[in-house]
This record gives sequence, C-alpha cells and structure tokens, in this order.
Amino acid sequence: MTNSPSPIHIELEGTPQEVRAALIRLRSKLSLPRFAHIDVGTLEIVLGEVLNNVVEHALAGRKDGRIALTCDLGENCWNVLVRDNGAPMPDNNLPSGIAPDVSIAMADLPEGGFGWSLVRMLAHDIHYHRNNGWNTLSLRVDC
Amino acid sequence: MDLSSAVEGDILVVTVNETRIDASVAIQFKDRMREETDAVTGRVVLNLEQVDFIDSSGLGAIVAAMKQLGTNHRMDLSCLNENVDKVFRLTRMDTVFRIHGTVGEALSQ
Repeated sequence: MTNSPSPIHIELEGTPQEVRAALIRLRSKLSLPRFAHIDVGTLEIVLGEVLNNVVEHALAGRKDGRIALTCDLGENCWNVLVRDNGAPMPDNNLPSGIAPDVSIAMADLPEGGFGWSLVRMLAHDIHYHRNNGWNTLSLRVDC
Repeated sequence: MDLSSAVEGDILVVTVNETRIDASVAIQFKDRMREETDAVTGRVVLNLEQVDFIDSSGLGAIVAAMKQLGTNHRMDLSCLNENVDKVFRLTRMDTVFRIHGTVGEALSQ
C-alpha cells in the first residue's frame, strides 16, 4: 500500500477562461494541509503554458474542444498527463521551446513565444503521442 | 480587469487589483493599461503586489503595455511575488524592466 493521495483530475473545455478556472481549482485542491510542504507554483506555471498552448493551437476554432488533466504526486515530483481532442502537434513533434531573445531594442521586444520555453525549463521527461484523435502529453515537474 | 492609478509627483503608479494576469485577460489588461497611462507625463510604476500568477500571455501583455508607452516614458515594476518573479527571471525579462521590492523604493529612484 502507498500513502500517496489519489491523483487530481480536472476536465475542462478549450477556452482561456476554462484554463483559468481549472488552475484556480487546482490551487484550491493543493491548498490542503497534506500538500503544505509542496511547491505548487512551478506546477501552475507549467500547466498554464501547456493548457493555453492547447487552447490556442490544437483547439483553435473548435467549439467541442475537451481537455483532461491529471496530476499525480510521486516521490519528488508531479507526474502530469494532459489529453486533448484537438489537432496534432505540427509534424507530431513537441515545440522546440527556444526562448526568444530579449537583448534587443524595446520596440522589437517579443510579446509571445515564451510558453514552451518555460515548459522546457521547468518540466522534464516530456513526451507526446497521438492516438485515436487525441493528443497525450506527459511530463514531470519537481516539487 | 481592475486597475487603479495614483500620481506621485511625475510618477504614475498603476496598481493591478487582481490576483492573475493570464491569457483570459491579457487583451483587457493591455487595453486598460493604455487608458490608465493615456495622460502620463513621466515614469510609470506597475505595482504587482496583489498578483500571484502570471503566464506568458500576461507577460506579453506587460511588455506590450511598456511598448505602447513609447520611448519617452519608462515603465518599472514593483512588488513581484515569488511565482511572478520566477517567470520574469526565466524569460530574462528581469533584464528588460527595473524591478523594485516596494512601491516606495520605486518612487525614490
């Protein structure tokens, strides 16, 4: 038998408002005393980027977009699974996540493109596969 | 998107009265910042004390708010909490903005 709590499971529709609501729900679940010693800020940053990326790209223009999120607390990390019924990743590959250069003139500063670079900096063991019209992304976030 | 502002000398302090700047409010944030800073004469200090979560869209909206001020008006940030600070550091946006621990510190410089 293990003492680890059961995984957190949240389902949402593919809109930025639903992503916000899901992250607020996640944070409230993680405010329980049994999670008091665990860093949840990094997990929230990673999930914000992953979920918004799904909404903006995989589910762009879709009204029937569904996302299922599972966060399972392991020994020293969160095992995260994000599934969605949107379009596949381009070329069936994860985004490279190269961080935009910010050492440039103010007028040229990038206003986007940071999402997947943050995911790559904060998460590890990132895997993607496509099956039966669903994307599955798995990753780990230290806690 | 609830923003409020106060004039301190020639400095405009804009306070974000929200806990999150994310993809669902990024455009509203940028539009409200344009309204709040419309008549600015000097420097702008964006007080993020109440903000405990920012995503890359929110970060982009803050960058856009600075850019729409033009080159004559600097925008500094103050009171970044741990998670907000982390996003600025990881994206190296902490090298773009002057970041102050408190509004008082931002005003005295």
